[in-house]
Amino acid sequence: MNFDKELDARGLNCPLPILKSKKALTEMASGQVLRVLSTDPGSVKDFGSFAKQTGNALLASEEKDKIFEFYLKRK
Amino acid sequence: MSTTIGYQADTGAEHAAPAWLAGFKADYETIFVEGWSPYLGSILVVLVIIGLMVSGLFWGVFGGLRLWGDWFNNAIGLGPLLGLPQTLEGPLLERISLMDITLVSGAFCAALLSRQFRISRPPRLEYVWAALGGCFMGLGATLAGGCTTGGFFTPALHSSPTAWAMWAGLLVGAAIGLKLLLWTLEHIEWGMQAPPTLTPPPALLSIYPWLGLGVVVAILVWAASWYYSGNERLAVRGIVILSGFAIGFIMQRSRLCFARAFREPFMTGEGEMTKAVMLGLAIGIPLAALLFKSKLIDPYIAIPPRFWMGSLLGGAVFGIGMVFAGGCASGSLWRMAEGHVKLWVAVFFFAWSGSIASALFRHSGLTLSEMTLDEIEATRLGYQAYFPAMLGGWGWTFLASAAILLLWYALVRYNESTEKFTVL
Repeated sequence: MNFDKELDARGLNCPLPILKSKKALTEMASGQVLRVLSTDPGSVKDFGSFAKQTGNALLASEEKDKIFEFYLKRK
Repeated sequence: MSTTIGYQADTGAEHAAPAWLAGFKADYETIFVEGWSPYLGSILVVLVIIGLMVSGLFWGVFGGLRLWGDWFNNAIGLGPLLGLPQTLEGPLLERISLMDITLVSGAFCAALLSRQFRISRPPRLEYVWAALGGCFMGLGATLAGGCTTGGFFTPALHSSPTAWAMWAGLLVGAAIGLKLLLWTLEHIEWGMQAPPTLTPPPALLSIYPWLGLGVVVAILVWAASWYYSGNERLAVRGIVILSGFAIGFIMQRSRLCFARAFREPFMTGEGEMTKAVMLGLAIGIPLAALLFKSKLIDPYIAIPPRFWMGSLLGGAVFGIGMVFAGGCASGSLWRMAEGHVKLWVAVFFFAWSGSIASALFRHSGLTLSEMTLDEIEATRLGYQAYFPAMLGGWGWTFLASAAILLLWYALVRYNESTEKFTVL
């Protein structure tokens, strides 16, 4: 999937992947896509609720070798 | 979401496995690999605690960590300065410390069975927050007479308002902590680069479940040998071993986390963990009351003499600390067992500062315990408050606990729809 910006949140525990994503998204333009890499197993649920709360669409959520990838579209 | 690579890498051999194995493999995935609901986790933990209480025991975490800190302080020569006893109980014999060690073992075992164990290193700045958060938690737990377990969850089950004083403090602390953490993200650039992720070799990953099974067997043998040792002291500790292990296992599987229960409503607004903790208390409080009424256990053994000043202040300090550390005491322990290096640092500083703060407070007389005329303990930070004694019976006690739980539920539910309290 194409993305405009990437956030490496590997090695970080909750709540940091969410807080950093929020910061990264505020620096982006509407419609741009942020790719987040995370190793925190709790982040799967977190990104679902975060997308719902903030209105930034979660386009995809994938896992490969315990590294999670999230694609968030800035509203 | 796809399953783990480690699992897929093995499937070449596993596809050749006989057909009858398929059902068992599916069940293994459901129980040991996929996460459990936090509601299930909370109920199971409460049942284990009730089992402990039937044996006259209770669940705690901080007392054990403080003992580790005492050992460390003695080892580096700070002991005499702090007035610590030179001969301390062994970490495997002191009950709360043993419970902590077996909690870590249980979570480690669950992380192996699910192939989730990874040595995970955070960016450098995170170590600073781990140390700082750990120190705040050590100080907060000393003020409150316990962490989110011994200062909040266990006293709540013991129908003590001290739990709810800490609860109020924790809510304030979690909100302040989150605000501060947001501020640091805006203003601190140093040490944000994540180190490369360490991936265990596939051969090691494929034997994780067997290592996990090895941990189960070792724990069972250890618990059984102490339980049947004929020595009463050890027999009790056999129960502690199994309970600690079960709590750690359940917490890892359901990712049960008090820090999350207090923090999440302020963050994403989502309140599942919070509601899971409430459910556990709603089931546990009346069950525990039955045990107190039948005199199986004395409720006061797990009520810290801190109502309300110590609990409230301690809760606020602890709340800030747990947001920076990324877990409360029990949450840090099970995450430590999953391989998160940040939490190893947080637990170390929690234990160390807890030991120092406890010694200094005792020295200053702040936490020096005295017996009141009603035979309850009191310190300058508060007393051992017990709802049935204050309100004159169980009817009002249940009403008070139910009212607070309902208020909490209403706040979380209201916030889930309106997000009035989220600070993001």
